[in-house]
Amino acid sequence: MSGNLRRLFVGNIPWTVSQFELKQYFAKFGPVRSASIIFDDKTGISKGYGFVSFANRDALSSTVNHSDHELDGAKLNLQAVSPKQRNTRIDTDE
Amino acid sequence: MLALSQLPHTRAHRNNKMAALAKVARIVNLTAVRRLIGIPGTTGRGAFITSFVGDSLRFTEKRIPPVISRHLSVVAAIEHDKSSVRDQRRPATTDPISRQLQVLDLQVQRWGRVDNEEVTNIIAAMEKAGEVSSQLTKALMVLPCLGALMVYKNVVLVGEVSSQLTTSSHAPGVSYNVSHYNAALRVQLENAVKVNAATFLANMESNQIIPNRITYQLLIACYCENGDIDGASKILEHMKSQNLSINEVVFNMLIKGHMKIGDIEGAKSVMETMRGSELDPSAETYKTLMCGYAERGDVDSIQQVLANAETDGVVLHPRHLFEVLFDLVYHGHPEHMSVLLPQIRMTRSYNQDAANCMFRLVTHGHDDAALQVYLTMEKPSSPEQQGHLGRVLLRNMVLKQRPLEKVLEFMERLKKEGLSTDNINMLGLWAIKFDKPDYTLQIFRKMKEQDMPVKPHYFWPVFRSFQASGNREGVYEALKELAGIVKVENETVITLYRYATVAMQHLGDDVDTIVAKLQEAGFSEPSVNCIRVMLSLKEGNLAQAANIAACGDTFLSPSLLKAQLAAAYAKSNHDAVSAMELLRLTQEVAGEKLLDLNSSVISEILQNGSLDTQQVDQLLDACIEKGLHMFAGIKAKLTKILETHDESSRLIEKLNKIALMGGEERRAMQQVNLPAKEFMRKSVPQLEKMLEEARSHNANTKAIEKWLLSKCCASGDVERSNQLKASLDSQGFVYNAELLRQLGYLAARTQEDLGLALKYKQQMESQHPDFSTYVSLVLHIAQLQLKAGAVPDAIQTLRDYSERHGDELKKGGFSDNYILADICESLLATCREHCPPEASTEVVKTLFDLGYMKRGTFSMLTQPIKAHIEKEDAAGMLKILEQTVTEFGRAPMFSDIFRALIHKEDADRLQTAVDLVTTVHGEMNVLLHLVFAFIECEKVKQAKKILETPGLRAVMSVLRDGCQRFYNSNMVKEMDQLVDITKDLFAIDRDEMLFQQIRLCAKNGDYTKALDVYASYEEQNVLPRTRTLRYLAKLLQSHDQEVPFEVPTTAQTGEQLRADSAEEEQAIKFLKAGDINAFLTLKQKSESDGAAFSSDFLAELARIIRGDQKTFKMYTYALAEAGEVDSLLVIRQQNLPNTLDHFVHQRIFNAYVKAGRVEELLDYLVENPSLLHKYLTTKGLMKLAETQPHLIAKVELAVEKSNADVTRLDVVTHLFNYYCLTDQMDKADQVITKYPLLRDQMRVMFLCREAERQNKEDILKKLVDVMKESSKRRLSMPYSHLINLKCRENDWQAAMGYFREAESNGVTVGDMWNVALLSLEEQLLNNSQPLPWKVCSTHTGPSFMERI
Repeated sequence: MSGNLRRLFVGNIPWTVSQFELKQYFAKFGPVRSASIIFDDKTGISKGYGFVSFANRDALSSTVNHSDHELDGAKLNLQAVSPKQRNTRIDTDE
Repeated sequence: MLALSQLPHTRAHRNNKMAALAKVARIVNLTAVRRLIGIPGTTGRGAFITSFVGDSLRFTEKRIPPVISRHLSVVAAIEHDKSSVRDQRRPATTDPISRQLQVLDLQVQRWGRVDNEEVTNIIAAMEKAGEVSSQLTKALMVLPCLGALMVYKNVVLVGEVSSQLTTSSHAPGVSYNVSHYNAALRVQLENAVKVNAATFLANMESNQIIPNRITYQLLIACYCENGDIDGASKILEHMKSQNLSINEVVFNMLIKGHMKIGDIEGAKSVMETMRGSELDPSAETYKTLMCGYAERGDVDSIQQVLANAETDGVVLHPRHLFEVLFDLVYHGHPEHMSVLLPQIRMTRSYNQDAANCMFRLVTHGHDDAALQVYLTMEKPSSPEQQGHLGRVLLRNMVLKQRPLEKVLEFMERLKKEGLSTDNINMLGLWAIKFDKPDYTLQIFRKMKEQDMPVKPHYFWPVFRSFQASGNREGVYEALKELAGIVKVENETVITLYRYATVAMQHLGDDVDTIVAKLQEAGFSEPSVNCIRVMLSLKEGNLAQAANIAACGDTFLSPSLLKAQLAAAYAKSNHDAVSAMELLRLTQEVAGEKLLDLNSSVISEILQNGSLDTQQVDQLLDACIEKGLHMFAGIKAKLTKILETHDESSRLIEKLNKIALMGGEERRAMQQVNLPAKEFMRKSVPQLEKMLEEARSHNANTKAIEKWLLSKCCASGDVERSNQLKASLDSQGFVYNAELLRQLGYLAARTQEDLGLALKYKQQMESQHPDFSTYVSLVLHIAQLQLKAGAVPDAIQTLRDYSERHGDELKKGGFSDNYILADICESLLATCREHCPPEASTEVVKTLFDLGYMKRGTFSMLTQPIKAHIEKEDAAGMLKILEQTVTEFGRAPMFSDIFRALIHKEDADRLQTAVDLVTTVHGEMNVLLHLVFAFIECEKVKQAKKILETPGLRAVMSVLRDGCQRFYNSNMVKEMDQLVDITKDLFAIDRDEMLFQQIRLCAKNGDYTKALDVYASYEEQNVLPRTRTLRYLAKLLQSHDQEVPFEVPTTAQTGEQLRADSAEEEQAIKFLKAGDINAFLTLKQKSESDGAAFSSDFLAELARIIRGDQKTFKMYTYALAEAGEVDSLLVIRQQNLPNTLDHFVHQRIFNAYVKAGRVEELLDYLVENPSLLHKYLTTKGLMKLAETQPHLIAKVELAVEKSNADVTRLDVVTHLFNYYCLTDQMDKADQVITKYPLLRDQMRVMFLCREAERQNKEDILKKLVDVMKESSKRRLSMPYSHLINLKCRENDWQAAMGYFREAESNGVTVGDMWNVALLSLEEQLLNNSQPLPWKVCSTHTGPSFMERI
């Protein structure tokens, strides 16, 4: 039940986008469990990034496979949040 | 991944820019270089300047490549932003105020202006910090920023700020010096505050501060500012009488004074006087004159002055003319702007100066003029950036809250020019960021007018801002705006609850007022009710909340409830029914099951843990009653919690009803093997141990063996690798690509078995054709082939790989091919050794072409160049340079080539060399190096001309290198010249340059000159960094000179340690590696070079290595041995852990002894005897007795006083030890008599060991005597040592005698020290004596005997 596997980091969100709009946008790709944008609590200003949790893995992969994501004229940066990034390379002479 | 993919792009990008730069600079420079060389030193100065300056002015007039040139300075700005700031100085301190100050400092360096918010922030932070005295140094650092640097300033603010500063500076017990007064005076002057010179001087005098040259200069400026020439003259007379030098600055002020009162003739006559005193009018002089005309709007005269300046060969920088321009506009003559603007030279600093002028204009409300200036600024040509260019002006207007209509008008205008793609949204964001809530609301209103969406969350910062400034009306105003927009209900209530009501409650509104205000603003009934529900929840009144919610017309926001409900439940004294009712109502309103909300709230309540069984029961019942459900997934977690309660099975049954029977639980697969990362981290011994354990359990060991094999191959352990391989083979292991590579690598590198290595490589390539990361295996194989002389084979090997996996070589991972550089170099070395010389070239070419090596290390290329330089063979030099540049993209030793060619006065070849090297190092670096070369060849004028190349800016890393070179070779004159001629260079870090000059003065012990350099800081209004001040202070102190300023310590400023010199950098490196000896050698060397490390630096070093206790102790020990008292005293204050603190105190005592200053400390300790125990050690006392035995009396006195507290016996013990070890047994006896507690409590280990080491039987006997009545365990100690001592002397009878004596005194064998018993046993056995104890054969080691 590791929800993390379906979590997506979204960067470069313009300040004009609300959490609701973010959720709406990603709902196009599959069921979204939650979407949040991080705001500075002290100033109330958007920090320009947020997280989207999908209800299943397919929704995440179809989102990531889609090449361009744009909201309010800004290109979003997406990155799947994986619990641990496994590094399988052997440490060698190189 | 992201970073890697971006890397080539940015690099290419930069290369393009550099190419463009090179193009521009060359147009000017080619002629320049040729001309410079063509007339070496024969032409007079004036003629030369005219010819050159004429040239460059013409260049400006024609503005030949305006596009490129414009591009240039924006590039400069961007480049500067990215790179040189990084190489200058990174703010690296923990103290927020210091950090802010550093940011400020950086701003000044980069942009020549500071942001008034920064300054006010700092002042606010200082006020908050409170302690004026400790903040004072910092406060005074801010002072100079309040003057001309604040282009955004308005007078009122500055007045406030400076008075704040000066008042808070007037703290008692704070010492001022003359530069503080000067700084304050300058601020007032630059902000047009009238100063009464007489009172100012009187004030200084009353504080016993002697005014210096700068003070008088500033006072003259004050008089002149007011047009009081008489006053100024009086001061001038006084300066003359004091024999103070009168420089150009003073004359410029006098000109200003004359212009103020409209006395143009007077101004001109001052200029004549200047010329008469052999001071040529400078750009500053002309500027002053023009500003005078500008005030009257006399544009014709300005033109005339400009023409004069040109004939005089004076170059006017953009900043000069922009000042004139500002004065024109400021004094109401904006119509003349258009005449002046085109005459400003498009140099590197144009954009910065124009921006500064533009900001000042906006600040003073001259928007149109600002726009006009803005439009002349250089814009980059890349279309992607075009759209953002207008922001610089628009942002500033928003910051200054200029009329919105005007801003919008400008925005439209810029849009038409293609300089802006922003819309009004952007203005909103800026207004928010600049914290201008009223202005933001204005913008929102405008957006609504234009049918742009205004969303609830736009208001969040507005509410926060009004809340912070306590503006209640603002909050209501914002509420009205918010109510007037179309919205999503949920977002509106979030905004209202989290922001608006928070602000109102913060400002003192009660719930009723809030509700009334919301209704008044026009929010819908459901929204207002929602807020009422939430406010009730906040108070913990769940029942009330449920009541309101039940009344029908209420919106319930799941996200708000999710965050609030669990807490409200706890606060409400576990009102489960209301809480669950609210959840139910929320689903009713939403019209769907909200499993997420239910799960989260219920699990949060249960997890809080403080519920008793009955409460849990009630909660679950309420849940069931209200028909709520949860995700099945959290059942397991909650079951665990319920299990801790009584009757858990009943509770769990209830839980099962609530949790939906979802799909099957997905459990994370439990990994049997360790993840690869874990294996990778293990060392060979760790893996061996794992293997052993696994084998003992008969487990599958393949994975461990595999990793072990990989590691052994990498470390070159052939034998173990073969064993492991055999073992894996026997288990039928299938090798993966990495392991095959590792085996091949072992064969090639360690075994040097070409055949075997090739075998593995082929196997790997055929079995795993996609595996590509084996470059170093390829290189090692090629090396073996070269060693065998098989050049074609080697080249083929390299080609093969490149054909197969060329992408790998091009890939980001290898773009900085330093990883491969070593292998390549060793490969080339092999080639040189074993193959014909042509082969080398071919191999190098192959490596290079195929991408194995890029701009790596080509150290071998310097050798032939060196030979040519020595032979003074200019043609040869160029030939080899050309070859290395074109073939390898390297230009080794190019500075030496420059110098050689300058000496030979070979202009054409120098030009060619410059062109060649430029392709490698870029125009900036090459030009600066050319400057160094000219200076070194005593051709300063030529160097100066190079610096006037338009577009040239300071690359501090290069300049520092140049300074370091002059420093190393002790080239004083050259250093002075370099520092002098780079004064006006764009983006120069003046502090760095002057600091380098001071360093060289220090090297030569020339402190008077260093002080001169310090004075030029003030004159040039440069802020010395703290490190500079510390350095200078150290220099002055070492020459017993008074330090004319307060020395900031690192502790005060909270800076982190930064190395100021190569030596210091090395010192840090050595210590970090724990290499104390290398450090000490370095320290001694730098001391003998006259550049000893400062005590501050030494103390800071301790902070760095604090984590490593061993090194820390060794380091502080070494400091004590070197008598570095001051450093240790600072270290003591570093908040050390107890153990280290004690250690450092003891070192301080020793350091005092070593430095011969121990009397200071002892006097202090006599006064504060309670501190004595921290400092005193027996060894310390012994050392003291060696050097200054008469001072022991003081210690005795202190001990006597300290013993008011009888429990502090350690101090007395040290004294006792000392007496014993120095054979003063009678005194030792006295101590024992005086402090009888010692008999039972004294620590004797140290003394026993020392006594035995020094063969002092009598001491041990004395101890026996003293401790006869003490416990047997204690008494065993001197006996053990006596036995050991006698055994060492091979005197078994005596040893045995002590053994018996001990026994007779009740000490058993079990009490005694094993080592002593072992020695005794050895002695007895050697002498065929019976052992007085039984031997127990099963034990080995020191505990072998069965104790009787």
